[in-house]
Order: sequence, then C-alpha cells, then structure tokens
Amino acid sequence: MSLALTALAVALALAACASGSARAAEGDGVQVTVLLYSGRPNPTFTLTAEQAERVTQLLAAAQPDPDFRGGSVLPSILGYNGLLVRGGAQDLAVYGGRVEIQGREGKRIVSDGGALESFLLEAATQNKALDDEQLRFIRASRDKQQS
Amino acid sequence: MRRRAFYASAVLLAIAVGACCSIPTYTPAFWNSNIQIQWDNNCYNYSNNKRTDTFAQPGRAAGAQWTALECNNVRTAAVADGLVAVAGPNNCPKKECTLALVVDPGSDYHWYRRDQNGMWTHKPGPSPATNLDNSGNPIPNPETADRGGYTDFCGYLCSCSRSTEGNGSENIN
Repeated sequence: MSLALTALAVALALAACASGSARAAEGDGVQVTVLLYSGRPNPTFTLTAEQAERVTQLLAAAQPDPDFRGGSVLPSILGYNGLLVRGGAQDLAVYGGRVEIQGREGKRIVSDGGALESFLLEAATQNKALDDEQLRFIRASRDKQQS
Repeated sequence: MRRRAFYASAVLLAIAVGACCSIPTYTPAFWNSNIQIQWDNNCYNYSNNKRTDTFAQPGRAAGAQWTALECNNVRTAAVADGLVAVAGPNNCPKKECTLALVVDPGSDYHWYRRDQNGMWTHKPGPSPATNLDNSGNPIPNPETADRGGYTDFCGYLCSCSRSTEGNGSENIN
C-alpha cells in the first residue's frame, strides 16, 4: 500500500515538474498579438531578442500622457484595434500613438507618436505573422485614423 | 433514510437554481477593469456573459468548433455549445438573453447581446466592452448598427445567463 502511494507521489511530482517546464518554455520570449479580429484568435508572434530590446528603447523614449482620459488605449470598434505585447517586464497595449503600460504599480499611459506601433507592425511583417491582405487592411485603418 | 432524502432535495434545489436564467445588465467595469479579463475574453464570452479567459470559440467546448467563417457554420457551432437559434429578436424565452451573430465573410465573426434595458452591447475582441457601434452610436438594433466589415447578419440565438456578471450558464470555452 505504502509502495503504491510512494509511486503515486513520485508520478505526481514528475508530472508537476513537466508542467512547470512547459510553462517556463511558454514564458520565454515576448509575444505580440495584432488585434484584427473580434471572435477568432488574432495573429500572434514572438519578438527576437533584438526586437524586444528595441521595444524597451522605444518605451524609454515615450513621454507620459497625463491628459489621456479613456479607460484603455484600445478602441472599442470592429476592425484593427492595435497590438498587445505580453511576456516582457510589463504588458503593453498599443494604439494610435499611445501605449498603455501595465506594471506592478498599475496602469500608466505614455505617448510616442506611433513609433512603437509602427515598429511592432514592421516586426510582424518581418516575422511573417500577417498576410498581404491583413497588412493592407491595417494600413488603410491607420490612414483613416490619422486623416 | 431521512438524511438521504434531505441531500437529494438539496441537490435538486441546486440544479433548479443553477438552471434559472436571467438577462444581464450592462456592466462594462467587470470586463474592462482587469487586463486578463479584458484581453483574454472576446465577443463570444461577453455575449454569453461568461468569463473563461480563453478567447472562447463557438463549438469548441462541444468538440464541434466552427470550421468556416460564414453564418451557417458559426451558428451551428454555437448551437452545439447549447445556444438555441430563433427566428427573430423577440423569440427567446422571457428570462433568456438574446444574442445576435454577424460575420465578416471569410474573415471573422462577432456577437452582440441584448441587455435588460433592451439595448444591445458588445465586446470587440480584447478591446473594452461597449454599448456603442462603430460610428459611436447606441445600438437599439444590431441589424442596422454600424458593424464595420461584419456585413452579414446571421440572426438571433438564445443564451442562458445568470444575474452575476461573467457567470453565464452556457458551456463555452
């Protein structure tokens, strides 16, 4: 009986280790999601180390935006809604020249003139996360937003 | 014997209470004030008033997920989850929530729900839940609302919710 219990405990411990390893692997890298769809899963890709470093630099160059009054920088519309960046030191939502930074201290909003959004969309293109039709749609949406 | 009868009654009561449906009120704070809830729950979660944190897909919980982005296919997948398709916006049982399905053909689908006040609300993917359409107008009728590229109106379905926000009764994932 005790032998069976010991074997069970060992099996559970091994399963827990395997599960933990899987989580660690999933946690590696900074994931970017391009928000195009309301229902189906959105295109997602992983930044290279160099791209992740560039994100850090662009964030450092952004300016606080105390005038922002909305709840989220992401618009509640159907269509292109910006990007999410997860898995780094902070989670980010990016749209329309603003970045919503979700850190341990809570949420803060910075303005960057759209530099991070442009960089992430370029990274999505380099990583082949978007097809030509999706890219055309995003460009048209951004043009419309800026006009 | 009496104890067994007591437990049986308790189980039946719990089932009956669990089966009760109610129409939700518009409570965007539940969906918008926590990034995990906002970012990981989509229009299907919101319309069914059920938080799963999985970006729920029609049919996935039933092992019959949608395979094509057109009305019939997505509606059939939702029915597999337990939703009931009806002919019009006023055909759901009194305490069940009415949902509207729309499709951007070949690209995506989207869901609206009708709240207690009779107006329609929705949650565009990871964006905040809202009571406004793409033109910034309230939504008395999803058939005539500005839906962007979601041009195909697919009809109405009934969903059983509970009064607690995020705690819908349908089996979605």
